Amino acid sequence: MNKDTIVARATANGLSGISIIRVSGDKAKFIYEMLFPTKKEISPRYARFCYLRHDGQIIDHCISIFFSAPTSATGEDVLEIHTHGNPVLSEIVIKDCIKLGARLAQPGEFTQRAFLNGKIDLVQAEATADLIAAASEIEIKSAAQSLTGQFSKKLDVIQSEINKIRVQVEALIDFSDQDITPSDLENIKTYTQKAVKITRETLSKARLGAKVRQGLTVAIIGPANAGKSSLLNALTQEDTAIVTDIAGTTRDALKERIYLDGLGVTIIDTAGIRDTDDIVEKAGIERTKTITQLANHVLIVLDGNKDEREKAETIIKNYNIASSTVIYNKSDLMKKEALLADEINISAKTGNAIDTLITRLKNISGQFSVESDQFIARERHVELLKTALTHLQESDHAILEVRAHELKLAQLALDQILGVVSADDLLGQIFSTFCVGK
Amino acid sequence: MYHKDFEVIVVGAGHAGVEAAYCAARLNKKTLLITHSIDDIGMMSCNPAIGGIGKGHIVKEIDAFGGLMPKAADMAAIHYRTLNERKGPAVRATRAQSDRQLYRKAVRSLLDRQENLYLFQESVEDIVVQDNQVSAVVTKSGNRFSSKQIILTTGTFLAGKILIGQQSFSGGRAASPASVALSESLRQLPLRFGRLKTGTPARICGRSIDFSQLERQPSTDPAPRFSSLIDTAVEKVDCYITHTTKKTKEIIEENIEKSAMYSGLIEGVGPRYCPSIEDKVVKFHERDKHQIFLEPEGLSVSEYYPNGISTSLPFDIQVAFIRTIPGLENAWLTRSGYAIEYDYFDPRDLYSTLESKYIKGLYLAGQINGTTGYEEAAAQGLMAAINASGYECVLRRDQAYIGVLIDDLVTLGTSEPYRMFTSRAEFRLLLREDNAHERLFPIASKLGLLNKEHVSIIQSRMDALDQLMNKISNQCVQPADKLSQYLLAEKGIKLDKEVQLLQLLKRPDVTAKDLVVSLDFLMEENEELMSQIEVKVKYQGYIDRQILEAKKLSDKESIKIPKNINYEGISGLSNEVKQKLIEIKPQTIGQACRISGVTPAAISILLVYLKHHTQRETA
Repeated sequence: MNKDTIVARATANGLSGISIIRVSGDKAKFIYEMLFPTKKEISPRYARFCYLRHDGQIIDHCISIFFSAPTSATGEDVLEIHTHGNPVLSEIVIKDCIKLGARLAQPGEFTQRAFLNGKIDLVQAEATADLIAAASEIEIKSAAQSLTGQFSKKLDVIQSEINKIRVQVEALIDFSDQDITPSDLENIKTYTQKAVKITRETLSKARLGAKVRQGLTVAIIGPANAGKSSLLNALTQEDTAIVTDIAGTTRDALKERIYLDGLGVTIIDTAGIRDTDDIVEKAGIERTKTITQLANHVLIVLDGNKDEREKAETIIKNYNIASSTVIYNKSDLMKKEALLADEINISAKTGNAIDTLITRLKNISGQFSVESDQFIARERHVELLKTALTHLQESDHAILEVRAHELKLAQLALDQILGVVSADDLLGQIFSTFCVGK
Repeated sequence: MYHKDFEVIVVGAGHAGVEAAYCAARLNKKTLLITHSIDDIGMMSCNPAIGGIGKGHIVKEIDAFGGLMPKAADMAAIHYRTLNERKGPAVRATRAQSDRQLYRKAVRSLLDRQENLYLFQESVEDIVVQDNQVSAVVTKSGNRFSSKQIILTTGTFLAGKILIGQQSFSGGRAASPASVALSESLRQLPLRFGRLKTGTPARICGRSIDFSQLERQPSTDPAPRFSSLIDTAVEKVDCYITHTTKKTKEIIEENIEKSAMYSGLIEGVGPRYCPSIEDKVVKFHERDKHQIFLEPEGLSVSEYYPNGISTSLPFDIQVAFIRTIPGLENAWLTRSGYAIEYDYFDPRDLYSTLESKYIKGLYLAGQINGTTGYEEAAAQGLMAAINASGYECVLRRDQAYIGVLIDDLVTLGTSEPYRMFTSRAEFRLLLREDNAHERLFPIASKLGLLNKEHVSIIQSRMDALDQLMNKISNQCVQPADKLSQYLLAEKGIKLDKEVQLLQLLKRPDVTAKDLVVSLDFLMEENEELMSQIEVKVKYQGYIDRQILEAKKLSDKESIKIPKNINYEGISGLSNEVKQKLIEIKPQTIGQACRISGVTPAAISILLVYLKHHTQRETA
């Protein structure tokens, strides 16, 4: 018995124009022949119109495409069946495939096979998931950059630079009694500086890539009746924003995701601070503190008619907030007053000055204006790049054998990003985040 | 009656063979060492030196097993050097120039004094195998010696062919016959073999060398040692350094097609790192100068080994190019340089014990496995003998260079003569010359390989190290102390307040020597131990981390793969990976990880399979 054959719906479940079912493995060809008998030779990568039969009866008109190994997405024989988009119909096709020897795919198994068969590296595999989950233009572009190998190529460049250094260092150690390799420490230092520079550049790109992936996170805090919820509503109902719900929010905080000109912003609404003088409820403070620490920016919403600037200052101090905008709500009822740069008068009720707030949020996220070669990245990548950079820098001050050791550790960290070497559980973790059919 | 039954038979008395026989006999096995020439036992076929980078480490490890090479090397050493002195304690290595005759004498006397060891002179022509199990060796005149454990250490003698220019003749070493019949009979066995080549330079009469032009290189003083038992010393002499010239290059270039290597006569692959002078001229064309070390062959002879110009050019060309080298203008060549081509067996057909995967009781060690170098050969002889004597002993890569050597051979094979380099060891910082005994003492003493004297020497050294460590870990240094004054005067290091001695030693600019010089409780003889403590203190972070990684490795090594595993039946493994696993037959998950082309993902699949497999078996 060889590798088993897997099947799954590749498109979302539900009514739609068409629905695609994908099969991968040694039996894909056999399933193709059994489902759609033909006297002709099978031509790979050729879209063929066929009748789908079940119990001898034609139940749909569909398109089938067969890809032969290794030139397929997974590196194995792959069959795609495009039926009309009815979940019952897809269910029938999947059951028939299982009858013919396939089994239902595990989450992420198609991508996992592509990785195992060397079609993609780990960064590309992750980018596949990111591309599917991407909800903004920048995210899509960045994920696509990673998927086509832009990020992997950058890592390869660093690896080959370190290799150059290692060759010199190892030669100095192992061939010091022979005169085959002319290399000296000055060369090595120059090469190391170059590698450090490239790694640093890639690291800052990766940091940005990770931010792109996460988007801007904004927390809204303030006293109970200051109008936080109306502000959230006003923001999410604004024409320029698209609203999606995110499952798995914390008990006391409501998360909403909005998109401002293609940039994802996560807004977290917190439970109200009952009274600023009465902040004694420790658990509540801690919870809100955690949220404000998570956020890149905090909107402090106050009742413009009651609250004063000192209140905002107390909140900033108590919650240890780094970046914030103070919003005096209910501006429609309020007297005009001179505002500081990080203060805005708003009427969540009438929508007055909401656009001012949106402009401000866009400005804050202005750091996300990305270049065309921006790739997407994860925290994992950033951490490993940091590790590699540290080892590279350490290497430059060390005695030769330790220098060699540090260089090796730097390469090891980079290898882990690409999945060339990895902890056994890492792979499981990564692929389990995929959905069935990817 | 003449006893013809033995517990272990070793065929071949080169560096692998003598080490194997010496070890098996010390393990109380009745051992036969059989060679075509008893007088040639312990012969150094190439340069008269033991040790070097990566190799010195191996010799120290052999000493930790009470082996023969370190003893003989110290008994015959006429020049010592410490290499990589300033590149770090882990890559620091000892090399000794030997007097060839003294070396042979030393080896022979050690063997002759060893109980349980029998020598016999005759060439072996056949290895008898019955039902895939060795049973005997048969000699040229028909003598038959029986044993269930046979170690083959025939070196370059299997179908050896010597080449000088356009001439070629059969031979295992200059003036020694090749083992043609044995090679033929081994080719009948199910072993994969290939051809390798190596070379050696001409030798030069010392009286014809003009030393006045040359740079002198004296022996290191005080002399380092390989053996913990030998403290006799012979006279030390100098080596000399010279170099090739533009004219040398021209002569070699003009005659390059006359070299055996370049005329297509040689099919074997030579080592990249020990290239012939022809190779150097072609590959490093831009360089006019290549360094040459003139190494004395002995105290009582006036012959020099010119290290760096191994060649297979015709003899008259050798004379011509050597005479373009400063100091050698009137050189008289006592022997011609030559290239030698020989059979080797693919070491991937061996288990990590060096026993054949296909013939029970047959062990292969030394150059026959595709290695080069006396030290690499001896290490294999030692390990083959331990295993052939019935003690399963496989050293891990984090335990010894010997472990790295054998694991590389049986897992990766080799396409060129394999020589040890420190860069082959991923746990390089752990595998130092200075801690070889510490690393291997528990294994060696458990095997019973060390005599009482050796055990007590190592034990008391390790105790002294502990005591010294305890002593200095409680010490503090005051700014007014002698040490502080010394550091200020000699190195400009100023102490403002009291500091712990160990913290002070952590600084890169403070050395063990500084402490020995200026601390009253330390004597000069403590310097070696202090250096060891210095390494421990300075490298603590790295060492701890490598120990952690080594632990992971040893966990993987502890997961055994059953010999009867059916890789075809494991779903999820690619065909390429299956083929590799079937070919190498790794004995542990750790070994499987190191097979090229076996990915971490494949290892995960294998682990899951083994888990289910063993669960099913126990259920």
